[in-house]
Amino acid sequence: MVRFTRIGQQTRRLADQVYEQLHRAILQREIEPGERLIQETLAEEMMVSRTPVREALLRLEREGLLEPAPRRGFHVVESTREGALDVYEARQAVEGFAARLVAERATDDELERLRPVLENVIQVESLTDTTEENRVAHRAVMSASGNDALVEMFDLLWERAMMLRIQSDVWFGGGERGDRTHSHAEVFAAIASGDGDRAEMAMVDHIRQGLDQHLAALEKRRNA
Amino acid sequence: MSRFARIDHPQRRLADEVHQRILDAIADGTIRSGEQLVQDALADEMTVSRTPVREALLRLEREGILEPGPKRGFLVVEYTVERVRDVYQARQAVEGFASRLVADQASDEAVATLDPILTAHIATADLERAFNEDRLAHRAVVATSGNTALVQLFDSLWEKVTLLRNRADSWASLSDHDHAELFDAIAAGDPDRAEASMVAHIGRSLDKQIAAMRRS
Repeated sequence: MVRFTRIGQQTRRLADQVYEQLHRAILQREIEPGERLIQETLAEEMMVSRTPVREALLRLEREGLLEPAPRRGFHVVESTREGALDVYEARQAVEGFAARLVAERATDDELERLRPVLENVIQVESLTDTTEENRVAHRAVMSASGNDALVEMFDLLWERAMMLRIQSDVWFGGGERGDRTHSHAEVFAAIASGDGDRAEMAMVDHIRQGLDQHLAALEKRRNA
Repeated sequence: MSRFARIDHPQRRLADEVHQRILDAIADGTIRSGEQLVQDALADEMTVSRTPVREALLRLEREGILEPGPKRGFLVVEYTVERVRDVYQARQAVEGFASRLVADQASDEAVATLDPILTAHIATADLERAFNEDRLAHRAVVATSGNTALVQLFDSLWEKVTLLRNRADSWASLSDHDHAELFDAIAAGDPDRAEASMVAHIGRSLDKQIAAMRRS
């Protein structure tokens, strides 16, 4: 099976392209848990030199998606209870704080822009933690905080959380599908109230629900 | 049988070293904001190959410390008051939440670990040293939370704080009092007070930092 297409030399930076391919393959579970990723093999598969492959692998390691494999190469970080707790707790810190900032500072216009994103009910049935609609909704709150450093941290945490989530959902049987849209609307109401404490608490609770689902999926796997 | 384990990523260490040296040079003013950084020249200067230099430059770009410049080089991004405020606010999120977690657990072990670190006097005579002691005190709080994801965010934020270390002159004097107050809240097992204490402390550091930037 060819998972990686040949990379043309002309366009963007090679390391970025290698990174994007590996990143996609990891999130789409085309790389098995425990599978060893070796620089030389990947370089041959993509027909590029080893340097950009190494750059991409090290970047994925720094981002917490890969870890060094015993002796040689890397493998995808496996979903554990501790790992999930850490990442979701860090999300509570970052997103809870951003929700507070938005509640305390957002103008009416900014709130009206945020409302449809959080009250979006189009995909109630399929809206789980890992869908793009969910990411867009959470990221909209981060952007509304107007703080680039917080947005940057959100992007890092989101990828790690979703990678862990995808593993536990798909490899080991799906998590529960909660009523996420309802929950987003509650977060919006708390933000729109202008009460920082309430907004932070609503976001933290919402993320905790996601964590509970994640842990339930891990538990299923353990009992399977 | 070989006596030595194979070294898998010798280049990684080198790239990390180059990354740190560039950060240090920006922090101590050897490299100024707006200055052009070119891969080949840096490699010659540090007598390393171009690969680790390139890796370090790309990483600094992703970290928002460098931006693409003319002729495939990089420029040091200028620190505006808004950027500094963003970074300190993000610190409030990460370190405030970590303080809450630590106070929430308030284990004897955590309290014993943090006691000497947070109640120590930070001498202001040596700015470089004082900065580092302050950083380690804050890092100890986050590490004691036991959350590795928060520690990772802390390290990436403090890389940016480090770039500003020569601009602030007197935050160390502030640290003694504030750190002791934070420690009290943690030892008392009061998460709300611990979080508020850390957030207020970082807010005061930010005010000093901005005042120093406006003076220079």
